[in-house]
Amino acid sequence: MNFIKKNIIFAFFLLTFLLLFQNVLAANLYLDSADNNVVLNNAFAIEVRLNLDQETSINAVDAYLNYPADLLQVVDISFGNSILNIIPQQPIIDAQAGTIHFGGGITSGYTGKIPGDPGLSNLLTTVIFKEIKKPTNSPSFQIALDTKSAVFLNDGKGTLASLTLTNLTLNTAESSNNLSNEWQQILAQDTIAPESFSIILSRDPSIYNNQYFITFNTTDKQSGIDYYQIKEGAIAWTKVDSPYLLKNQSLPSIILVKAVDKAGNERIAEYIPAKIKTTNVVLSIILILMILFLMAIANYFIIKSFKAAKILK
Amino acid sequence: MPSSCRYLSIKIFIFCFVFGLFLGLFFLQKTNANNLPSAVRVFITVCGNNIKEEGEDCDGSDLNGQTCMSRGFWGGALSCNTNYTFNTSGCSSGGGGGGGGGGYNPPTTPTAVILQGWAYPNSDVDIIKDGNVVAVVRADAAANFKATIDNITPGIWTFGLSATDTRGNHTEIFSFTMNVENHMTTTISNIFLAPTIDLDKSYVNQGNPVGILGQTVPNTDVSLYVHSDEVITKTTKSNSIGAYFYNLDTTDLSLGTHSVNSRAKKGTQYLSTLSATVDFNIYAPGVPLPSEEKKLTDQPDSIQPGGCMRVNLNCDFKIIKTVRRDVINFIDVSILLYNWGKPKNARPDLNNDGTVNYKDLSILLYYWTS
Repeated sequence: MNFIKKNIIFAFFLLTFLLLFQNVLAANLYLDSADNNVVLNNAFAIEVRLNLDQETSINAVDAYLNYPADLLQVVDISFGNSILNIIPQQPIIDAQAGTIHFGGGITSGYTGKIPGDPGLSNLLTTVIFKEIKKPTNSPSFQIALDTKSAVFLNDGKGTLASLTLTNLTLNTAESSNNLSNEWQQILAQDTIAPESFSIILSRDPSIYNNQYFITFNTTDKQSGIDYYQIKEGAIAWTKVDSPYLLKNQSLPSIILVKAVDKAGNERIAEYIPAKIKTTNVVLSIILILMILFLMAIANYFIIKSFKAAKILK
Repeated sequence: MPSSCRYLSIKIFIFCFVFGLFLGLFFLQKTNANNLPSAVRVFITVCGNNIKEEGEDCDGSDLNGQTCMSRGFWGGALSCNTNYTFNTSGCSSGGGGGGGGGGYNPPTTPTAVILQGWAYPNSDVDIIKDGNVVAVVRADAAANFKATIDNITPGIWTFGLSATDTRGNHTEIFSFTMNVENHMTTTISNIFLAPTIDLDKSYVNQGNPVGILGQTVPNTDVSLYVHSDEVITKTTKSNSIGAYFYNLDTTDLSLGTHSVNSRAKKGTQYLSTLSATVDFNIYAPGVPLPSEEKKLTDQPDSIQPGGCMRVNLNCDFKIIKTVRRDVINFIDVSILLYNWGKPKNARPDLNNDGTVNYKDLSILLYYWTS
């Protein structure tokens, strides 16, 4: 009897294990590094990546990262070449607690790596750390994804994908294959401006009391977008985020938005309000009419002088 | 048999039984989750990587083992054109001696992406790159389409494709993410957009038929998956303009809500992605049916006052073939972000949990149209 009971328990645990194992295949959030050896005072990059089970489609990620705050300092966070193309808010870094919270969305959804793709194509973000102190008790330390992290299925219901997390253990070393100040090298190599984009002017009763606001969004495939600036007419360039409530609601001037990447490359988008477009058309017509008028006058005097010359002959 | 051996064999038996049960459950779950076998995925060819792949005669220095002589010439230097066909201009056909040859300059391949596949006959296919429509191409009468995206920055891109059928119904966006390499032309072929799907009615008395209709590639097999107590598969065939229709008998279906989606199969090899899912409700015979007008609910896709879906936060739309289509784009994301955290009004809180966060963003992005 005892034997049967033991085997039933064995069977139950085996089945539970196997079912659990097959249920967590949907998504794997993992950390990756070019080299697990890091050197004191050198910057190094940690990549947060996502693997998906076949037939899984996701469209939003909400991730939390924990790092040893006494050993590491966050130098920068880049969404360069990320699969996330909508970043609702800038990453939140708590340097005291050693946490990073970031997230984003993917328009049209992300379905994982497709066969034949020459790259990994699963990068979410790159975090640049600097080792500021060597660990005392052990030569290694861990950067971990928090269990609060969530990946949402592209199903219109916000369903959570079954998620596994893979952390990264790093060793402090005297030398590393990681490039010394790797981030600086990435920035130096980035000479390409952010992707071209457009400014959308809108107004809606549900936002800013039905006042005009603009929407803009772009990506940068190398170092990532650092910030956006706006220029409304004569007002100086100002750092802004999308959506942005326009200062001058009468739309008297051209609106410029500049996207600047982490390496300082810039891309400017322009919005010409309809009023200015109309004014420009009217001015162009007036100018053309003036030119035609001047040409007619010139023609008149030329013909007149010809006639006068004929009479003199 | 010694008792230890007997115990071991019982343990092996239990292990096999449980493992078998697991496999059974695993495949049952997969079948229920996806309703049908896995779809054929797209096929990628990278031109300019010096590797001859399917669809190419050659690629840069990879001449697939061919020489001028193997191509029927006397000699000379065979090379590869930028369109990945053989360039035999350097080959000689015999006769007089040739002059000294110059060095071979491999052609520079543009960084580009070619997308090709099947949509619906004469339909407009939206080509979406990182959420923005960058091109609209017209499929031919056989539903073939081809789009080229030039001057693309190397890096990771998410591409989406969506088409509208002759009735104004549109497919869900077919999307995939991939790495575009510098100075290489990446061709993604076998993109087979899902059929469109619609019903002739949403409410029906048991025993009366429900018409399931849509459009796909002409003269292809269409499988319909009716999600009832179990998944019931029905098959039909599209006609010469790609339209399909199936009259579903509801006699054997239980009362309540059922849903249906479809998938097309071209030849023996190519499967489309799954269509959207549409619901219908079966009422007992003789019971008066509700109006076909959609009810006002708090669901993201429910029609709100103003005539647009709740998820369409600024209620903008475009008319495609007389059908009004909600536009979900960056403006809606902007309104969602304006309400990020504690919403200023209830509408952007799409899952009605009192906060606007990544879950709401996920719901909104599902309905993305660009």
